[in-house]
This record gives sequence, C-alpha cells and structure tokens, in this order.
Amino acid sequence: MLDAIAAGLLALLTPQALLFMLIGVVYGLVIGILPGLGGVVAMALLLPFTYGFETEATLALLLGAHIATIWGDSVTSILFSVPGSAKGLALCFDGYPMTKQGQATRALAASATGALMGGVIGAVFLAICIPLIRPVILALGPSEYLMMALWGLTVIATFSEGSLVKGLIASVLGVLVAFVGMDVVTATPRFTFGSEFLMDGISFPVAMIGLFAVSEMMKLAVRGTPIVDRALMQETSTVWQGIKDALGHWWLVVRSSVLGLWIGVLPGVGASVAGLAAYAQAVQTSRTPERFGKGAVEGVIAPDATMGSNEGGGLMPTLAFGIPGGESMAILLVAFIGLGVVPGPEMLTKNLGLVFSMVWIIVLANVLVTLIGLGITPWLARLPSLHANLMVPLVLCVCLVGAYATRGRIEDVVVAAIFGIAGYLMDAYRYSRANFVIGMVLATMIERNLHISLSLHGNGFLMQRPIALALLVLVVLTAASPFIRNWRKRKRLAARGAST
Amino acid sequence: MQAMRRRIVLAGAMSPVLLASGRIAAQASGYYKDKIVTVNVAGSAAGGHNFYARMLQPHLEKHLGARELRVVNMPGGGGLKAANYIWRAKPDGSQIYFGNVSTLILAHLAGSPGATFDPTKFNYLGRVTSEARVLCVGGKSEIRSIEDVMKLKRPFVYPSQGTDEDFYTMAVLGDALGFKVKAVTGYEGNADTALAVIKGDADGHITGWTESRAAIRNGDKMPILMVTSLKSPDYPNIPLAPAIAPAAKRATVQAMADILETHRSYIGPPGMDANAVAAFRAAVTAMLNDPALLKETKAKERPIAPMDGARQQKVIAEISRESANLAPILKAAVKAIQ
Amino acid sequence: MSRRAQENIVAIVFLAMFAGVVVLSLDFGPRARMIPLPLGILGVILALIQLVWQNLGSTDTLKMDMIEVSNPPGVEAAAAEARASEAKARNAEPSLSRRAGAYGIVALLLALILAFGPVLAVFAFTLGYFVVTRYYTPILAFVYAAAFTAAIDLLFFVLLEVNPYYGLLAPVIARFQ
Repeated sequence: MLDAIAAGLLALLTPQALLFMLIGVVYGLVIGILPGLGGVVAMALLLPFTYGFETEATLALLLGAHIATIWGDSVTSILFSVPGSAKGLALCFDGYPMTKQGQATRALAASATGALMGGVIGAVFLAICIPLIRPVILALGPSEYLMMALWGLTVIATFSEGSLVKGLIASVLGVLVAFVGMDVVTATPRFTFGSEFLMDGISFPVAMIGLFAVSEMMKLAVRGTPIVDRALMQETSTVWQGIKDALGHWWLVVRSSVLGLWIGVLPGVGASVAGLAAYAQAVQTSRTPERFGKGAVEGVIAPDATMGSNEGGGLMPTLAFGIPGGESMAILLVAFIGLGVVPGPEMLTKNLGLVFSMVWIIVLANVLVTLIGLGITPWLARLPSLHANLMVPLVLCVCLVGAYATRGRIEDVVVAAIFGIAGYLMDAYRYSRANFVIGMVLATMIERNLHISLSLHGNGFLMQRPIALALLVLVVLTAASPFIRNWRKRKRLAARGAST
Repeated sequence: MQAMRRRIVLAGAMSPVLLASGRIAAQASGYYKDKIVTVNVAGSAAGGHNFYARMLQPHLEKHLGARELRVVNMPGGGGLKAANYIWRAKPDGSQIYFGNVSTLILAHLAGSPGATFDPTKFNYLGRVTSEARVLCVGGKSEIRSIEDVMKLKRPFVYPSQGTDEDFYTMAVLGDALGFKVKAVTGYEGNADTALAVIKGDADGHITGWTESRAAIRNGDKMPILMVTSLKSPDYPNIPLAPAIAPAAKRATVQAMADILETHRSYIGPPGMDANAVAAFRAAVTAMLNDPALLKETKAKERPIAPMDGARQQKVIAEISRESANLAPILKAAVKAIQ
Repeated sequence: MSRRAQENIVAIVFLAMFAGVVVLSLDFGPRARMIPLPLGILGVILALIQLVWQNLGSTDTLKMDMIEVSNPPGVEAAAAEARASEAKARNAEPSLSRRAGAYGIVALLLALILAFGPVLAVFAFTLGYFVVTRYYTPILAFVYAAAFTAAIDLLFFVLLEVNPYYGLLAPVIARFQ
C-alpha cells in the first residue's frame, strides 16, 4: 500500500502533469467565479482536449479544474452574494454578512483554508475507508436518503428569525417551485401551464442567481452606496485571521469533511445538498446557533470543508462499482475509457497506484487552489468597496448572461429577473430567501425517495428500515431543539426577573 | 465562426495538437455548397450527444461541402425541445436534429404531453451509433435467467429514473413474455438504479452495454437478456428478446428492438427538400466510412454503428405499422405509475 | 402606503399562489399530488395565519415574532451594529422612486437582452449606466463598457461556447455571416 501511495505521487511529478494541473486549476477558478457555471461544465469543456496525453496529466487537468471551481463558487458568494453554482449557496448565508461587516479577507481566507483541510481530510479518509465503502453504500438506501433530506429541513428554524410563520411560508413556496416541470416519478407535467420551457422545471442555479445576486444588486442600486463603505467600515481582518479560524475550528472541519465524503459516496444524494447539510450540521452542533446567518465564520468553514472532501467521495462509487456517482464523475468515466482505464473493483487492486494518484491530485490541487486563493484574497476583498454605480451594471450583466449560459435558454434570463424581483420583495418583507432555496433543494430529494420507499417497502417502510427510523428520531430531536433551548432561556430569564 | 474563434484562442493557450485538423474539400453533391447548416444537439454541453456532434462536426462539414456547419446545444425535455423545434423548422435542410431518436418515437407512442410531432414524418438522415440494451439482474439475485423471470410468482421489481426508453422496453418485455412488472420510479440516474439492483432492493434494470460492463465483469450484476436483433459475438450466450418472444408477440418485441436501435441519429424536418435529404444522407454515409474519422473514433474509444438514412426510413415505416400494438402497452405502463 | 398595507398585499399574493397550487394539484394523479396538495393547503393556512396575525396588534408589534425561535443575546458587537444600521436603513424606507428605479434597471437589462441578445445588451446597458449616473465621462464610459463587453463575449461565447443569441437582430446577423 505504501508503495502505491509513493508510486501514485511519483507518477504525478512530471512536468506535463504539474503544468496541466496548474492550467486546470486556473481555468477552474475562472469558471467557478462565473455565475451559473460549475464543475460539470468545466470538465465537459476540457474533455475534448485531453486525448493523447499522459493518464495522470489528463486526470490532473480534469480533477484540478473541478476542484478549483468549488472555491471559485465560494468567492462570489462571499463577496457579492452571487452563488457561482448550487454548491456555493451556503456561503451566501454567513460569508456575505461577513463581507458587509468588513471581514471579507478573513472570510475568503477561512473558506480557502477550510476547503484545503476538507480536501486533504477527505482524501485521507478516502484512502482509509476504501474497505468500508461498499458495505456503507449497500446499507443506505432511499428511506435513509429521505430522512437525511428531512434533517436538512430542520435548519429552516435558524433562518426564521423574526417570524417562524414567514420562514415556513418561504420554504413551502420553495418546495412548490421545485415541483414545477415534468414530474419524472409519475410522468405528470406539474404547474407548467402548457409551456415547453417550464416542462424542464425552474433551473436551480438560475433561481439562485435571481434570488440572491440580482436582488442584492437591486438593493445596492436603491442605496447607491458600495456593499462595504470603506469610510464607515474599515477592512479590519487579515488573511492570517481566516487561516487561524479554520485551524481553530479543526473539529468542525473534520466533522464537515467526513460528512462531505459520505454525501459524495452516496449516489442518490446530490452535491448541492452537501453544502446545506454541512451548514445545518454546523448550526445544530454549535453552542451559539443564533450567531449563524449574521456572519459566523463557522458558517463559512463548514460548507467549504464539506465541498472539498465531497470530490474524493464522489470518486468512490465510480471506483468501487464502476458506476459514476454524479454528472461530473460520468465525465471522468468517459475520460477513463479514453485512457483505457476500466473502472470497477479491480481499480482497487490492480490500479491502486492510479487511485492514489487521484488522491494526490485532490490534495495537490487543493493546495494549489488555496495558495492562489490566499495570494489573491487581499485584492478580491477590495472588490465589495467598489462604487455601486460601477458594481451594479457589471454584476447585473454577468448574472443575467450567466443565467442564459446555464442551459443556453433565453427564457432563463426572464426567470432570473423574476426571481430577482421576488428576492428583493422577500428580503424587504422578511420572508427568508435562504429558507426558500433550502425548500427548493430538498424538495425533489424528499419526494423521490418518499415515493421509492413507499413502492419498495409499503406504507410501513420505517419499520423495515431501522437506520431510517433512528435517523427520524434524530430529525425530530434536532427540529425541536431550538424551541426547547429558547423555552429554557426564557424560563431562566423569567427566573432572573422574578429574583430581582 | 464561433467554433473557429474558440479554436484559435484555445490553440494559443493549450497545445499544437488542436491545430491538426486540416480542411480538405472533397464533397459529393453540390446542394450544401456555400450554405450554412445548423446541427441542433438534443442535449447539454456535458452530454454524450454533444461529444459526438462536435467530434463529427469538421468531418461532416467537409463531406457536405457546406460553408459552415454549426453545432448548437438545445437541451430540454429529454430531446423533445429540439425535436419540436425541428418539426417546425424551415425544410430547406439548414436545420438538423442530432440526438437520441428512440426517445422521440416512444414519447410519441406513449402520448407524452411534450411531444408535438409525428416521428414517422421526419426525414431520417443516418444513424451514427447504436448500443445494445441489456437487462441485468443483481449478482446475488435468485433470478438467474429470463426463464426465472417468466416463472416469477410476484411482479418483477424494476427501478427506473422515469419514463425513459428502458422503462418502456421493460413494459413491452413484460407484456410479450407474460410476466408482471412493478416499475419503481424516482431514482436519480443510472448509478442509483444500479445500486438498487446490486443491493437487492429491486430485481433488475436495463442499461446500455457499456454502462453495465464493469459491474457485470466483477459479478455485481448478471445479464440475462439483450433487447436487440443481432447477437453480440462477445456474448453469444445471452438470449435475444425478439428470438424468445412467443410468435404472436414477436413483431411487437422486434419493433421495440428496432426503435432502440435507431439510437443516435441525424434527422431533418418533415417535407425536407429531396435534394437536401439525398445530399445529407450521402454525406453522413461517406463521413462514417471515412478512414480519417474511423481512426479518430478508435483513438477516442467512441464507437460508431452507421445505418444509412434511406434504410432507417424504411425501418421507421415498419415500426409505425406495429405502433397500434405498442401504444396501448406503453400508455398502460405510464398509467400504472400515476 | 403604510407598512401594514404593504405587508398585507404580500401576504395576499402568497395566499393566492398557494390557493392556485391547491386548485391545480387537484387535477394530478394521486401520486403526483401526494406532496404538492398537502403543502399547498399548509401554505394557505400559514398565509392566513400571517394575514390575521399582522392585522391584530398595533403598528408597533407588526414585525414582532409570532413564535420566537431565537433571541440573540450575546451576538458579536459588529454584527449587532451592522443589523442596527440595516434596521435603521430599513426604517428610513427608500423612496418610491429609488425602488422603482431598481425594478426599472432589471427590467431594462432584461428587455435589452431579449431584444438584441446578451452581448449588445451588455454594452448598451453598461455604457448607459455609466453615462446616466455620471460615473465616468462619456469617452471613458465607452472604453470601459467596450472592454467589459469584450470580456463577457470572450469568456461566455468564445471560450465556453455558449450558443449565441441575437434576439430581433438574428436576421441581420445571419445576412452578415
């Protein structure tokens, strides 16, 4: 095994492989920063150019680009509340408030360090867990996925500050918006009003661009001042502070990374869920959950660590079963075939060197991304203090063009604009936009897995799935916990009030 | 133009390999001379259709003798958006559909609300690929053969992503071979359904041969039936669906296999200019026999399986004769999941 | 318009949307409506509760929580401050004309993109914005808008091969090619 680890690293240390990794990483950062485009697009566009090169170099290019998009997504979420793709969404919740408080440098550095640590921890765990992967994949199924999605919903309470009723209204609407389009479970068009465009549903990245980015730009246009007014709010934070934050919360990082790894491993759970799950986990395990949503650095570190480790996890079903765990892995599978590598369990015996090469690629690409990231962070952090009259037209244009680029459909620009206005109104009247997107992300996962569970195991499916039942208990407990905590706090306050 | 600009930019950035493809003008018919053709790919930039379309683009441009061949992506509705677009396109041969054709035929037969076209009226311009669909059961399943399935006392549990061609194929198999199918829809992609089969949550699923190859080789899955008309020389022991179907149902199963074999093709709008049809078919056939392309497909491990457009059109006519038998089966299968 | 009236309009819009969902869901098969129908009904109930609640108390309690989930006592000073200033900004409601302007720019950019395609729209919009707000002199505005447009074109339409879209100009562009 040690031989394989060393051989995997050595195979990577060729000029071509290192150069390709650098190209991939820089290219991935650019794609990641553009709204609406994510890792899948980055890899798909590179694929045609990968023939005839060394195996390791090709994988370094593809995986490097994919990994770099993750942090690229986070950057715009933190700085402008513009989620680069579904994955970057969770960074808007706390990263953007940090920017508004003049802590953009710290947030960016914490996010880059978190992603690096997540990537490395994910890769290490991946190497250790290789024998465990198959049993775990086989033990979990639709019923357990359903419970995991329900657990994700419990984070709604966190964002319902002000009014739980309004928070719930927003999430219910989000769930219903996700149902627009052809329902694949029953082949029924729902809420499409006969429109061919709506048959494919509302694209999640497009809706997010509207809800968060367009509406933020509208707010800026109304205010007429920069996101961060340097006259009022000095940028006080440093890169080092962010690095220390991530290192200081190492236990959170480890937990988030392991979570991300397993979400990547399970083919039925998408990567967009990973960021939200990580965020939920950070909130639920925090001693001061009320700080979240207002600029808590943990809310930045946790999702990035999860995303970082998620990639390694996504490789596993591809390697262990020869079935791609997601869209990006399907592209990687195509590259494998082009390289004459046959994925499947024998990868773990005959081609262990190559597997470790990939683990090393993940580690090195993460290091590279973080080094570049930390290097450019001070410059990036200045962007939010640009004047509104410069920021609004540029960001608004990039957002709407990005919405078009997501699927190449001009109707998506209309959708982004409508969601932008809706997001502006929701923000003004305190209907949580975060709750809306949480509902939207989890809706189909809940619906699909509920239907599958009912079909496979009947109405009493929980009784047949002990793991799912245990998870349900956990869901109920976490959902109740903020209310219990609050009730206790009030009782304490009342007691104190009575004693004085 | 767009593609050329991109090529220039990328060539500068990446590698001299990209500059390799020279353009030799050698075209048969003059219909497309100085014309611009748009190939509408029924899928996103990340999909397999797109990969083929762009790999073939320079070759097809050369064989058509067109001034420019553009490839645009028109994803949506599992190809239905692009098909609806071509159905209404000007029939001068400048707008062509490229993508999966079997889904179009099946969507029409099943009365899918998104299909506003009649697939028999399209002009079929040539098939590029075809891949045998194979029914696999889990490696540890008690079912070891298609006969076991037919003897099953309970419904055969079939995990599905939705109403795709494999879903419809399963319905036709159940009807023809006389076993009950319980389709469980809602799975998220091939990995998800494959795991359900491997775990034993479900009995078996249908995929393309290459998608299941690795899992079959390591014993996680076992192939029990191929839905195609020609035996694969590599796997002579797996029975073929049309061959084992009872005589009364054989034509229906054959029609289903034919539909699946239309796979990835170029098609043109109804009433397309006869000269354009002839020129395009000739160009596709010439292209798919061009040694330069064959070398490329081999290097990239992107196999092709050509079928001439004229022959394809005949097959489609035969399929439509069987449609009266197929349609009720497909519609019943959709009704069962609603 | 009072804050309460605005809130009421928003709540009524939500109510109408949820009611629409309920009506539409009734046409679906039993499995297709299994989740949307109950959720639609839940939405109607929630919207009604919100509507009643915000019209019960005096104006002061309007933004009060019905079910308070979290009350942040020991929040970082900076965060509290930021929120206080934000609340202040919110209380000093932006003038109607400024808000109309914000809707206007989104609508304008959307209309430009639909009519002339993304590239031309980006140029016209950024140039116009810079000039109207007098952020740059007309010449500088032209230079920067052109540079930005070129960057967008290069990234999205050349390198990433997004299909070009020209809107109403499609016939003109086709002639030139």
